[in-house]
Amino acid sequence: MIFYPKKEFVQINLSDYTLILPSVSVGNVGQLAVDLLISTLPSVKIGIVHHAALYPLVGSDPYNADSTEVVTSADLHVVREHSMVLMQIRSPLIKKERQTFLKEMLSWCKDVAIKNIIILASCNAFERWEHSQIMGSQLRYLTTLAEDREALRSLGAVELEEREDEYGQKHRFLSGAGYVEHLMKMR
Amino acid sequence: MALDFGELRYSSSRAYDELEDEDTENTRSVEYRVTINIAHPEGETGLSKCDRLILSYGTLAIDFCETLLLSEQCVNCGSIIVEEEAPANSDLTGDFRPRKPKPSTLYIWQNSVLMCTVSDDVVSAVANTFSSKLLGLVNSECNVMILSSHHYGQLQGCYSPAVDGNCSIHSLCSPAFIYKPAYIPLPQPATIDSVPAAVLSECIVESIPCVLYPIFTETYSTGDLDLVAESLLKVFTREPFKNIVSSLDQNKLHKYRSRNPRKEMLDRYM
Repeated sequence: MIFYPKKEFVQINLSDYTLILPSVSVGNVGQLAVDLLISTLPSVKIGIVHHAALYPLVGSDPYNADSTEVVTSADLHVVREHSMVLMQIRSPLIKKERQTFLKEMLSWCKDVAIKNIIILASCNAFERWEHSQIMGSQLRYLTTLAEDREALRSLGAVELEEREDEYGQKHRFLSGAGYVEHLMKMR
Repeated sequence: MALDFGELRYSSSRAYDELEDEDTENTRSVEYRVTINIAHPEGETGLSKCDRLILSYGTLAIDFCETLLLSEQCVNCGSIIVEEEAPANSDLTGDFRPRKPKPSTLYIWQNSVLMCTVSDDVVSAVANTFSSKLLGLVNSECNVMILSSHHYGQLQGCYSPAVDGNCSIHSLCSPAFIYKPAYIPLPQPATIDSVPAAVLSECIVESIPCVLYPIFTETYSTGDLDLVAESLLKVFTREPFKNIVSSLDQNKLHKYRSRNPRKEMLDRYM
């Protein structure tokens, strides 16, 4: 168990919700985006995420200056109107414990019947390798589901291009994107 | 990532360590072993009877506890030792004289107050394990107080020393802590990490009453306990930690100053 709900949210039903979380990556873009979602949407904090993989951190509530609530390395917010769960992670993962954390998180998602997981991450700009990446939109997506690919393509989103390495093998190159690859391989 | 001389290293985010993401064989994942040694006649049972736990972290906070808090009635009742596990291939380190780990000492006062001075060996990566082991010694109704000292830079520009003191002191509490803390909450965007954060997080999860008082000073150097002594004494005027220490013992402060001449020299330059 990595999620510790507040007393009033012990029985909360998250079935068919979408989990959005950042990968602690270069420039903190994912974390900033989640901060933006939490502060602009009608979100409610439902508990904290506690695990040995998270470097410990505490501070005052960043979303409400009058609150005396303590924020920790990671916490969970819910937006009922959009069936959305937002996980904010404020510290990097300890490498040795990373796999355990990701496994337990996926297991928790299955237990509470989370429908989709969206990871927000950022990559090093100096590792762009195609002209379209340098000049065009800087936003890319990667998905594990074929049907999502079609839907995203119809919206005009661009899939992350494959990059050929020195051995001639093509793969998706995610430089400085944190645990994205590790999590996607575990699905 | 090994860099050659003159090679440019791109600066990464402050929250993201590039080396952490590399799965190369050269990046050794450090493992730690946490051992508790209990010297109390009743063993762990004796410690679990304590209804208050005081934890000090950081040089000035530890100096405060060791100088002004510990009395003749305090008994050393054990220690917690954090050791880095030796790598399988010792050739990698070339460490022929492994250093002796510095223990975090446990003291007990009148069988009701447990105190722990956290050693520098307890790094952030092992802070969660350390806090679990430490809080495992006390019962869930035990009131925990953490005193930690930091450089004022950690306040991210919110440094505002009290009129009667030379340090800025704030508080953070777990929901189970029912008393009013002696100081105002930590301002945003300052954060506290390592052992104080790990203990407070564990207390939130386990519903243990806990209050954290981080003290911020303008200097890294020590030897001047006067910077924090007056402000820290105020936390002992509030329940449930009232009457553990009553007034400032100038005699003890004088002894402390005479024991730290080197540190006092440092203060003059800061």
